[in-house]
Amino acid sequence: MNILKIWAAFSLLFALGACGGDDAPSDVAGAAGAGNGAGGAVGAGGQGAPCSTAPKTHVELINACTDAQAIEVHPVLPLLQPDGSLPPLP
Amino acid sequence: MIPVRPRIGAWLGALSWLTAATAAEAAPPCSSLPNPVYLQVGDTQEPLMKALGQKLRASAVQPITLIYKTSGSCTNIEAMYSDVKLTTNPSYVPSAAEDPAWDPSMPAPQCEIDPGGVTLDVTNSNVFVSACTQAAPPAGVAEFIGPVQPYVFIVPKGSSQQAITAEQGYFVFGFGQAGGAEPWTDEAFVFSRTTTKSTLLAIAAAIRVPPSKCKGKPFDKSSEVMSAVATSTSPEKTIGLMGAEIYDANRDKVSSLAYQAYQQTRAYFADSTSSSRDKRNVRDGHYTIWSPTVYLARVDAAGQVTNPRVAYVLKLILSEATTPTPDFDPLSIVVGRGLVPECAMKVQRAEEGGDLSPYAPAAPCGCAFEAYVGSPSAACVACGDDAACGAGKCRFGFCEER
Repeated sequence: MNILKIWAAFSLLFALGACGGDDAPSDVAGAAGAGNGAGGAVGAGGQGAPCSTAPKTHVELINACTDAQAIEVHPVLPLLQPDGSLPPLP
Repeated sequence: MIPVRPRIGAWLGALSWLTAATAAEAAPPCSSLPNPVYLQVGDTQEPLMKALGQKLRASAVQPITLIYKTSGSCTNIEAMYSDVKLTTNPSYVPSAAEDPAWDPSMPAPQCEIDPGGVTLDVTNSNVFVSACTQAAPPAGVAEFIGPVQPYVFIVPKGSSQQAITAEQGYFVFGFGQAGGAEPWTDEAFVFSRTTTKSTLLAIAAAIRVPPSKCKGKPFDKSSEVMSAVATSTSPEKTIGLMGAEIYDANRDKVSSLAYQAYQQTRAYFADSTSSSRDKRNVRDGHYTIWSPTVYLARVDAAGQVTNPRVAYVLKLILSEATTPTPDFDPLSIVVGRGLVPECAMKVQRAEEGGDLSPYAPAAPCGCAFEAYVGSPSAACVACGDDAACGAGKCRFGFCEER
């Protein structure tokens, strides 16, 4: 039992260390999701896509951390190319 | 006894007189209206024309009559570029004396245009001018960038849909039924706008489908799309395009969809939630379907608007200081019509559907904006003058950084 507790404590410490590691950009956090609806909510600082706390580029701005209502959408699009790109318009 | 034919003739004569009298009463000569400014604007800006026009008609310090016609953004740009005169009867905002019962929720009455037409003072595009023409304004005409206009996808109240991705939009509007993007695969229930309208131009740029290739049933007016969506016989398959301020005024009839742009990981509403009206996601970049409103007006060699009344009206719309100080709050009118003044924006773009970049307005009004929409952040401090704001400035009753 004690061995299990020690292993769990080490695992937790390791996980926390990884989250706050020097390699991670300081202005990137877990998605502060407040989402509801289709796809469900993503908890703050949780498992969603990373978000920027100091956005500068277009992609960082549109994916910046926010507590606004967010909706995850996973539509089925049969004409998407195998690599996920869009086909030319007809 | 009067013969039947003369009696019918008498009735017809009386009816004709009554019709003429009613028409004359309903349509005074436009030239008889005091201090006129003639505008040709997109129909998404009609709520602003009515609300601002009502205050200007009642103003004791600078009374002005807004006389306007609605048309598509590209048509409006062409009208100013080519000096096309206004030749059809426009709408005007009546004074309280002319129509005590009128309010901006009602249709505006029409006035009778001069037979020779009238030169337009202002035209308006609700997309970047470059979305319509690559030509620079002719000499004597300048662009003035006004508040931001968001656009939304709308669905009937009976639809279960909550969001749409840019990719879905690409297939729905670029391929129609062949795109297979459920549930919007029946083009009879895809309600669009004609190709000169800012609503289509802005949304088409966002989903990267040329306006001329957009599928769906094109309507000339926002009200027609609203009606078609709200009364659709197949709610789940129905989708339409709309200016956010028209949607805001009809939230009881339709719902807007959250939108996920290309390279975005989640979909967001124009507002921070589906039920709020704070345009927070427009201001900070999470909601990307928006364009600046652009006003075209005649200027002198120094770039100054030549008609003082026009200059006054433009400054009110652009939320700039003007003299005389208006006896009403123009910023609240702009915000109340679902627009976001430039001074409240935190992001900017340089072309229709273009990438966003951070923006810091020279004279910010973010706190006032938030107060108007009912959600002032905790950091916003009310003030009476600059002394209360330390190194900052007191603007519209709140301390701002600059």
